Amino acid sequence: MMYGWTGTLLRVNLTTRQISKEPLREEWARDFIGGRGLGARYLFAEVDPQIDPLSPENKLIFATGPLTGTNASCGARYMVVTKGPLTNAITTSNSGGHWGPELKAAGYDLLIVEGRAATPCYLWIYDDRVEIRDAGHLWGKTVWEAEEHLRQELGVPDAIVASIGPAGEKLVRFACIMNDLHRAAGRSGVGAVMGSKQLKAIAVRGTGGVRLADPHAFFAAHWAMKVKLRESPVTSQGLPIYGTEVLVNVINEHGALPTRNHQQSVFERAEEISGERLTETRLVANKACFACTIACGRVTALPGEAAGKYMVTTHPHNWQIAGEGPEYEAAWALGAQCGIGDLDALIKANWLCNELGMDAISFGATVAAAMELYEKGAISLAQTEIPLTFGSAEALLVMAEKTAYREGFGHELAEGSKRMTEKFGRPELFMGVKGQEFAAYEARAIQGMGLGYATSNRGACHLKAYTVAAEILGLPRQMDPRATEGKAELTKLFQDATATVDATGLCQFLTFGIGLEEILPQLVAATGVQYTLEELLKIGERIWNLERWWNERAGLTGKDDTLPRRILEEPLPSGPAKGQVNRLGEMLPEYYRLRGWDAEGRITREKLQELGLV
Amino acid sequence: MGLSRRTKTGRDENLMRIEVKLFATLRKHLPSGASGGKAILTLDEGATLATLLRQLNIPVELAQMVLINGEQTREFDRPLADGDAVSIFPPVAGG
Repeated sequence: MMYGWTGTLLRVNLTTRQISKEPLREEWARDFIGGRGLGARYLFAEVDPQIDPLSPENKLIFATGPLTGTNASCGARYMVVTKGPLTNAITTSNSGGHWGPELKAAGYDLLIVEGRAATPCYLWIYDDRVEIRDAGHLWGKTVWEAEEHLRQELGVPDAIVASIGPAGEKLVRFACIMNDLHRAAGRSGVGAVMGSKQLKAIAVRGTGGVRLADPHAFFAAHWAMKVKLRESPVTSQGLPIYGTEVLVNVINEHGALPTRNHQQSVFERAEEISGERLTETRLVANKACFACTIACGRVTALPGEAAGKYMVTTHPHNWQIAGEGPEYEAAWALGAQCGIGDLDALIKANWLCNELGMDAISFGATVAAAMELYEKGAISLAQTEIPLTFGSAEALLVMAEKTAYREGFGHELAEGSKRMTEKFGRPELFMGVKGQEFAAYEARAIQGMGLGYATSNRGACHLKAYTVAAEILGLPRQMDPRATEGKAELTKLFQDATATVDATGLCQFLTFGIGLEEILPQLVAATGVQYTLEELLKIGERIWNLERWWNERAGLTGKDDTLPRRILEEPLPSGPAKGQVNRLGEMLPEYYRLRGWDAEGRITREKLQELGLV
Repeated sequence: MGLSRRTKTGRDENLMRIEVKLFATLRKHLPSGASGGKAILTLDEGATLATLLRQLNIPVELAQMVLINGEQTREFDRPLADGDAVSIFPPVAGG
């Protein structure tokens, strides 16, 4: 019997319609914990890295961790692991809400979806009863419509639904998988993989719980962590009061808020789209995920006249009600990156992205790249049908719908900014890494983030090594964002530690208040495995190397660990970081050395042996 | 507060005008009447960052991030200069 883990993996093949339950590989669970780690281990074992991500050969792995569904604070997370259609690399997209804990309560650590259904279908998991059902009547519905419809159809109001919207169905390369209406496994196009399998939704109801190896020790450990979270001003005040959006002003004041497709790094209208403004004018309530004691989620509403602005054609019913968000990254991508300072437009665009099932970061950043293409004359009004000028909220909202449905110029946006800028002859205007757009931090103003973006296994991502914590926020201690010294070590440490947190089923936001030292006793008490702190970091390193190794076999090399020319060579034109470029060349060789890889960034046999991967 | 003192003394040549921007939970420390999270304060020449924090009644431990003209600093005894822009944030995070 396993503790923490359920010990069961659910496998569904949509081609053969075979449903099977397998015992979890215990040694893999021990070595990779769960979530991102265990998901990557199964992907590595089962999926040829060379395949087309949208082919039936790709697999969609939903992975919880041993702390998912326990009452450990923030044990709400599940990870979607697959080959990403935006990046052609491994992707690990994380989501909160209630879906992961529900899957666990139904009795499964992992769900692996294989093949492709002949016609649209959905999965219905009710504890040990698992069915593949017809979804012909759901295909074409938005995320919000599908969720509501499914709960009614199933007659189970407590069923938790993960689904794709029109964007996933239309294979938009940055489509999300959404759960609980507003929570997203957001990046790299995991929703397009689900769409390619003709899988509309996975509805789950679980009535079991999580067996704990040592319940008394577990309760003591998670209580101690909750006390620390209450004592931290970040997790007890900053995040609950202002949400992640509080960062708009922080990052802008540091001259690090990418603006107009990274042409500037200070947005003159930042205050208008800030967390302070959102809290004062549009916030209705906080929202928490399963077992969360932070509640950073934002329920927002638009009052009368604001709801009527920028009416969009197909979803007018949405604009009179409350929704969620935007979060910081979304507010930046839809706002500063597009030069838009109208908070109400960002709220609407964010709701649209959630309802239609699109990653608001890549969508906003791709619109920004299109705006620069438009202003530089690479595309014309005849193609776009609406002036794609920086600052146009109307263009943003119109394109949100057109992109999700691949209509008109939205068909180009749906490919993501790398493919779009290449198609129109200006590849240098793609602002990202390995096919995925940057998040909301300018790498010329925050040197370590440049290294983190360049070396991330799933393309540019802020969630794989959030060095912003040290470089800007002073957590756990302040480092100079302009310096490159010490950033290779910082990046490696953050990458490894984050991979471990992602494997446990806990939320990364915990780490603003606590560290692996506090997570360790909970993990030990839940699983009964006598992990040590050193082992936890080693597991993170093992996960990082396994992802990298899979990418090597998919054809990625050290040459992909780079940044756009604008970031490396064009000094920032204004603001506190004026004159800066990212000095990746000063950090990357040291990073490879610390990783134990060769000078070209290839993983060495010795490192694989050390980590027990060969 | 510095605002009223400037009008009383009129010793403008010995006073510095400092633009202060406060964020998140620190906004309540702004002088009444301030809007958009910022205010112009007037301080005696030689006043330091610590003087400014005292005047605003902000405990040092809440001044997690301090920027003077966009540059991070932890030097609380650093003298301010006329025209400086000071941004102060409490401990916050996101992402």
